[in-house]
Amino acid sequence: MTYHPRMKSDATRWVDVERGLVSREAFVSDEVYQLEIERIFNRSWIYLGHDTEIPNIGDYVVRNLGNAPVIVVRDAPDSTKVLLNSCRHRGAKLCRADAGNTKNFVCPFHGWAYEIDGALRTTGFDHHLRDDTDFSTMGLVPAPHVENFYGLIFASWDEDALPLRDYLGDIGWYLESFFNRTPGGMEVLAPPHRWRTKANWKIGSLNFIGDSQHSPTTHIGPSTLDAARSIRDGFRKHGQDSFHVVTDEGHGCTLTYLAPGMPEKNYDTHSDALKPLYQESLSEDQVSMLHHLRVCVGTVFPNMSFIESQVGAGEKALIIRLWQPVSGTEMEVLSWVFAEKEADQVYKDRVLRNGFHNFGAAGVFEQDDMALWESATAASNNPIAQQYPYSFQTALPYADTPDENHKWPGRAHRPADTEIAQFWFMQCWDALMRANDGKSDE
Amino acid sequence: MSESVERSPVNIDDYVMIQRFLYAEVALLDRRAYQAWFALMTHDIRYRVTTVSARPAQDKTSRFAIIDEDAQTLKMRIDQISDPNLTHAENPPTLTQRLVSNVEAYYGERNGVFEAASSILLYASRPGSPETGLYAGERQDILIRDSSGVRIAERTVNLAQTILRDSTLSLLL
Repeated sequence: MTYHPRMKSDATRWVDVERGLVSREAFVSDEVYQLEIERIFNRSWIYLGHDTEIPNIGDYVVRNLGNAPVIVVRDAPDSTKVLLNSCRHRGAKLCRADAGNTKNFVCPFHGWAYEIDGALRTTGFDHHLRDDTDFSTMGLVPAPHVENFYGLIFASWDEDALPLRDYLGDIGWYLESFFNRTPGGMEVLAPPHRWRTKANWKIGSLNFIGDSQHSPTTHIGPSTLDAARSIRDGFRKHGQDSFHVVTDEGHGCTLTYLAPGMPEKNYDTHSDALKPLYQESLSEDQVSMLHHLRVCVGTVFPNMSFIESQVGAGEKALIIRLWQPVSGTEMEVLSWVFAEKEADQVYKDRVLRNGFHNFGAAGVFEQDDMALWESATAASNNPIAQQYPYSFQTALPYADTPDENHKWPGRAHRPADTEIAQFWFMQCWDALMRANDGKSDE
Repeated sequence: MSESVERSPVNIDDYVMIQRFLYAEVALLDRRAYQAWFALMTHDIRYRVTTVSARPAQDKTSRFAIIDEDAQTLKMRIDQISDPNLTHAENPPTLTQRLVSNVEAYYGERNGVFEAASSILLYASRPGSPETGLYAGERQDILIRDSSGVRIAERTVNLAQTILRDSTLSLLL
């Protein structure tokens, strides 16, 4: 969906564009979840993993594309296949581990054997098959589209999916700045942290696309105890410059910078050794986007989020987050920490530790997020509460006033403590949910 | 902790001393006496909690940390959950009962250093919810005894989970 702040609201079922409200049903209902799988997850590009998780031929990780289990496998040096993790014979999983390396996929149930690109080699009982049996139609079900964006592996079940670069559009410029800023690219530093949370997946996507309002209350702990207190006090004194960016298809991010005039010493924690490499790989505009950036937090529609932040005592850590829906009221979260391949091991270790100290399966930020997301989901899961929609009303005064001076891709909105990006996400979500509803979007 | 074969098991007096220490220490966590618990760590404590991803059985097990703290970052974690004004995850507090067993103890590299392994089972009842969380793991500690008593110089908790099923972990083990 392209950006037009005042969408028609007549056919809206869950999102009230004029009043800035969203039905609670959207955040708890299993029926909505089933529709999301069909209309959003099985039609969008979904992030599945990173090149550096499967560097060698035969390396695989097991993930979900929508709610279908898939194998993401390196079948050739520059090729990745995404295959339904279910035997064509009687459905058993080919891979029952989370990750591994294999020369072929052999079903443990009855022995059907597939090449690592998914082609069926033998059923083990080929001599009992009719001569005209067509093996070429009996391979593992492949996702029709798999594309790689600077190491980020995305796939889509939709035969008619836009090319990935078109789908990412303007958010691609920002993603490139984080994931392609050195010639070697970024590297996953450890397997993903994984946890189940009894909260709707969209709360995660909204939290990362631009929910600055939650920080002072939800995160009063870490923001009070921040070991880099001098930085926090510096921001208090000098202020900070931040804004939301929204782009077509429901993507967006929120960027926070050092205020002009703030002394840069000690505040800019990208590694000095790596910065010259940024200039080799990125445009001048992208380098200036990263310069003095304190926090960038964003969401690629529907359920991939990313954050690079300088909080706490350590190095700036870049994290990717996947909000994998399990039901209307539960998600599984996967979280990876990244550093530049060229960085030395000591630096990588520090990035990793600082990254998951803050954001991860035991993160000091995330433990408070999850407690409150679960409470919001639990308290909304009843018909009385569902008569009263969630408020996104601080988005409304800003919808028609993007920052005309914004010089980078996407539409910027100031200030950065409104719900404009979150409401934009919900409007795009609503448009897709209605797209197949027999009602027109336009 | 090294797995050298020539490690010698501690004598019965030292075994009882270590067991008592581990029981007293875990009781502090269950009573949420976090600052008193932190005082049992050495100044150069390394505190880690690891999980594992599911790999084929023939592959080498490779653990990775979900908590990896030094004294400074462990103190931040403690300060957060011990101040009612600074935590949502632990306010109201999780009701917990930690069971420690299967204690094995060996003499370490020098006098006054011990290597202790133990099993921990953490039962966690979230306030206002009928659901309970369970975390089980093996702990490997390096303990140091000097004139001021016993302290923990290093702790690694290897959780027997690939996916934390009860949301994020705000508790210590």
